[in-house]
Amino acid sequence: MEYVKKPILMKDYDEIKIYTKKAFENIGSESYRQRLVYRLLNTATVNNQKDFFSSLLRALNSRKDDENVKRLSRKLEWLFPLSPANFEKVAYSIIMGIMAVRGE
Amino acid sequence: MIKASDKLKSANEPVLQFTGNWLIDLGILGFVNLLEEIYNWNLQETQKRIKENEKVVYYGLFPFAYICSEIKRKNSKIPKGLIDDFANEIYKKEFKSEKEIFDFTWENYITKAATELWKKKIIERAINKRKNEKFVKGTPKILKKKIEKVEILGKKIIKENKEEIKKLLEKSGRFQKLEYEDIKSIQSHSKKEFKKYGERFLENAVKLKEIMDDVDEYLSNLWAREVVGNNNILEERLKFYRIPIDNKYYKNFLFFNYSVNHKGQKEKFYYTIASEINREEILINLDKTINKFLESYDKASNIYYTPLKTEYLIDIVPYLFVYLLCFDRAFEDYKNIGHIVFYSNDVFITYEINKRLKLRKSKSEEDLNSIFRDTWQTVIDTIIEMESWWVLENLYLIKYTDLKSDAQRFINVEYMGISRLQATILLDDDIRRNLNQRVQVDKNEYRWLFEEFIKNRPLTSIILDHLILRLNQRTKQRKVQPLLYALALEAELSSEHDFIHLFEDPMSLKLKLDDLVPRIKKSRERMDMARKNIRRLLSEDIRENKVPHLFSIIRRQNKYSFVNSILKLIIANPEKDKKLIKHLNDYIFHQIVQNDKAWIHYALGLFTGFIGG
Repeated sequence: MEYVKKPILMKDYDEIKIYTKKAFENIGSESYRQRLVYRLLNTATVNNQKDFFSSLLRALNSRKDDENVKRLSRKLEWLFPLSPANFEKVAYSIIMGIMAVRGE
Repeated sequence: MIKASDKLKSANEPVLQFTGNWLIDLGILGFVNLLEEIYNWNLQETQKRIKENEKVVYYGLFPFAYICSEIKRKNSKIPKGLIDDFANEIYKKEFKSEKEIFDFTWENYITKAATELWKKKIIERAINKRKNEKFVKGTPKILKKKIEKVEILGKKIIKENKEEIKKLLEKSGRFQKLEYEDIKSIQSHSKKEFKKYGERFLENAVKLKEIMDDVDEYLSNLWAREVVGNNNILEERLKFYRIPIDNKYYKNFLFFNYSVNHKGQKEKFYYTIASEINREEILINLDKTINKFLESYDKASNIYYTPLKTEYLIDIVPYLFVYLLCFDRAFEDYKNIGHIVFYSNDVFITYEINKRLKLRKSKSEEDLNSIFRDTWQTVIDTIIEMESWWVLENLYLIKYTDLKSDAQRFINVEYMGISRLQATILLDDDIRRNLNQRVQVDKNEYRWLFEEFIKNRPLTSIILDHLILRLNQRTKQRKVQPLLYALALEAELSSEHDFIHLFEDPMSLKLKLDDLVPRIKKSRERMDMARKNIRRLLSEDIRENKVPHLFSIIRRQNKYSFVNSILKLIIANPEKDKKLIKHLNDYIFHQIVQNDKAWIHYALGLFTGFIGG
């Protein structure tokens, strides 16, 4: 896969985290999100972009009309495809966004 | 001869001023310290005395103080009241020349001060050395006979009272000859004590004591009669009357040289003070004989092309050699650290700092840690009190381990200058206190965080080494805050605010520096909070189990692996305080995930929550 070099700024990661948090506020129960975070953490460890996004998008798909989900999807669409180095940062921003939901 | 100070006098300036050359300046400091040691004058008093009568100070009070101090270094005593007598007497006299002041001092007071040391060395040599080395040229026959008597009696005692004498002197094993120290010890015991060991021993020991008292008296009288107050000592006795001083720094320098007799010592000492470079060749160049920092001519042959001539220096710095002689007296010896002096370009501040350190040292002699704590505390306190914080940027810490006695070279000399950046940081009480700690890094190895910081060495590697010891329970150190301060400091210095530009706009640098200390403190606070939160979140068992894994990830510098492991631990504890989890989440996201340059410092900060302390 060829990666287009996009300038990803700190602001972008902040946005990903915030959008993720807002999107997941209306998705599933706490234990559902916990299981999802585990799954995402495991795929992130092995740098498996395909599995990571397939799990994430499946979860988002249940609320695809939600405005926050749309914003997150647009952001990810703009970023995709990601280089392995960028993927990790994006992945952890997403994971930590999901974790932040229950942190409120 | 006194040009420079004359000029200063008229300007009502202090007469002793630093020159900017640290070797000479430390000599000046050593000179002040010497006069303080002997006459109890502080810097102000010394300045006043020099202003009033410069020649009396340099040609009278200095040589007397110098010899007295050397005598003291040899653990010998100066007759009681002699120093006060001299200091009073010399001001009552009127002198026509510098030479007259010096001669008066040498003949009447230096000789008196040296009596005990001279006697000790003469007797010690006669008793301890082998037959043909016992006596120097010119030793009176009477003394030789008296010593012979001592030796005969000594042999008799060993033969007849071996067991008794061993008990008295608390000796064991073979014992065949009474050495000087043994005889001195016997001499110091009373008849009553001898009686305990039987009549026969009493008789012999009393006799020995009497003969030794006689030798003592004989030598005292001889010295008083032929040396004290005498400017015309018999030619053949000059070697015999050599004052037995030497000095580790100036082993063979002029009057210390063993081959120089009494008259020679006196002359050469005078020439040194008067900087008479035409009389003594050794004074012409500032070579290794005088400056131990220089190489010898053999090793640095180019010195031949550019010898450092003293003739130019003595025009600028009168009494140059007086100061150079005092160089070693500027340093203070600290156990396990070495000889240290704090040098700034101001004589008052340098004097004040080092004096206070000495006072602190005497209070905390045994506790190495408190010396470390106190050292910089004192330096900074003094600087702040004297409203001279600028000095900190011009302060050097000069340290040497020792002087090789055979080659007369310094072993391991270090100069530590403090940059403006470091000075700004060190002026903060909290940061300074926490960096002023020794951190154990190996079984018997410690690192002084402060020193490492000033030397621009990385602190994180020290903390990693220290943490290994902690994890293996091979250190008793438990403190965490010094580690956090060191980590926060490095995190801030290595982050996007770089301080590496040499020629930066001073105004923008100032703004950066003003901002730096609060930022370091904020980082430290964040780390501390994260440390506390992770402790609250995870049970002790979990923390202990995870420690080796997490530490090895940090050492391999695998950021995302670390984040992954920590997040798994956090997600496994959903029922805990949500505020606490939110804080950890923010900390990990902003300080570690998003922080490519300094994430390891924050990761280590969080990691300290996993270890005890």
